Amino acid sequence: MLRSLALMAVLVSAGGCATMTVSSHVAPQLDVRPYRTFSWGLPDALPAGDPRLEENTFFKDHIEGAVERQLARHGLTIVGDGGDLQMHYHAVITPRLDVNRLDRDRGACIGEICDPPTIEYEQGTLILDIVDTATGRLIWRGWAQHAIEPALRSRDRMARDIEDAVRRMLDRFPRAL
Amino acid sequence: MRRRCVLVLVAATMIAVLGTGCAPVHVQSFTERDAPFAAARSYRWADDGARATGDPRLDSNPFFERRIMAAADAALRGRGFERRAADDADLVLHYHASVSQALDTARIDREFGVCAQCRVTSVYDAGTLMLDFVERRTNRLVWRGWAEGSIDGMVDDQAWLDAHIDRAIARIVDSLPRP
Repeated sequence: MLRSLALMAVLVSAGGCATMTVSSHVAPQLDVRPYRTFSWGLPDALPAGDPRLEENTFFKDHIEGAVERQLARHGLTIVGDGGDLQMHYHAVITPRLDVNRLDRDRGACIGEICDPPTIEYEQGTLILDIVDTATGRLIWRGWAQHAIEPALRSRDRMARDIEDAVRRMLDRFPRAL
Repeated sequence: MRRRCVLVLVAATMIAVLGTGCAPVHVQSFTERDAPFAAARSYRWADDGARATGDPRLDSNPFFERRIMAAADAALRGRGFERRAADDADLVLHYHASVSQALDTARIDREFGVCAQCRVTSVYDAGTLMLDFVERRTNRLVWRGWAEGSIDGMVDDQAWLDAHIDRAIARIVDSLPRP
């Protein structure tokens, strides 16, 4: 009985315990001081994204709005085209496995067998690429990865996740000194 | 038994936190019989276009691609190979990178040799970096070297990823046959 309850608690909490991972890669010795404006670029060379996100106007509007707000904090102004920087984003959904680590992290071990369950979930990856328009070179790539199912079920959740992801990604974009 | 399990789980957590820093990288290579390494001393990079890696963070990622190429150029220079841009190089060099998830169901058992019923399953990102030398004249694959191992957490840390690429590529190139 105790074991069943604990297992149920693990399964219920599994989806919620996954945290959003945010990181970035940056060109060496990048100097962002010359950049003042940006515009949305043409589709990039990445593999086709997931239609549940990329053909979703709600998703597109929220991404673009969040990026424009966050870049404004960096002193970058959006222009129709020909900005100093071109922005591209890309959304991918991939099946992933995870092992529920609650038992391990809490040091609990139910019964004699202590093998935590393996969980399948869909991971969403949002990639934001920033290209120097003059050289055509990528100067920065940021990404956020998170279990996507809650966001696909709820627009409010999607809006919150997008805002959080874009803010945390662009917090990593270098600032002009 | 319960106390033993808890001890092993504490050890598992420590390994999960610390272990990835020294995760083993397995390097292997294959050399075609009669490969022309005594005479072939120059190479050029193949133009393979956009590469899918299985990890969207690394797909068409120029920082990742340039690091691999720079690491290979440095290691090959150390082995006496000359990089050429022209088509007359002896060899054409390709690289491939792939990432996939892997399950390890018995890592703790292996490392501690205890707790037969207390297995800890772990999921990690496994990465493979591969270099291929193709003889330009015959278009024949003459050497393939690769490194594989856990890259958990590395892609999210550019400096760590770069250092891992440098080490892996150096070891792959080191496995080239010596003339």
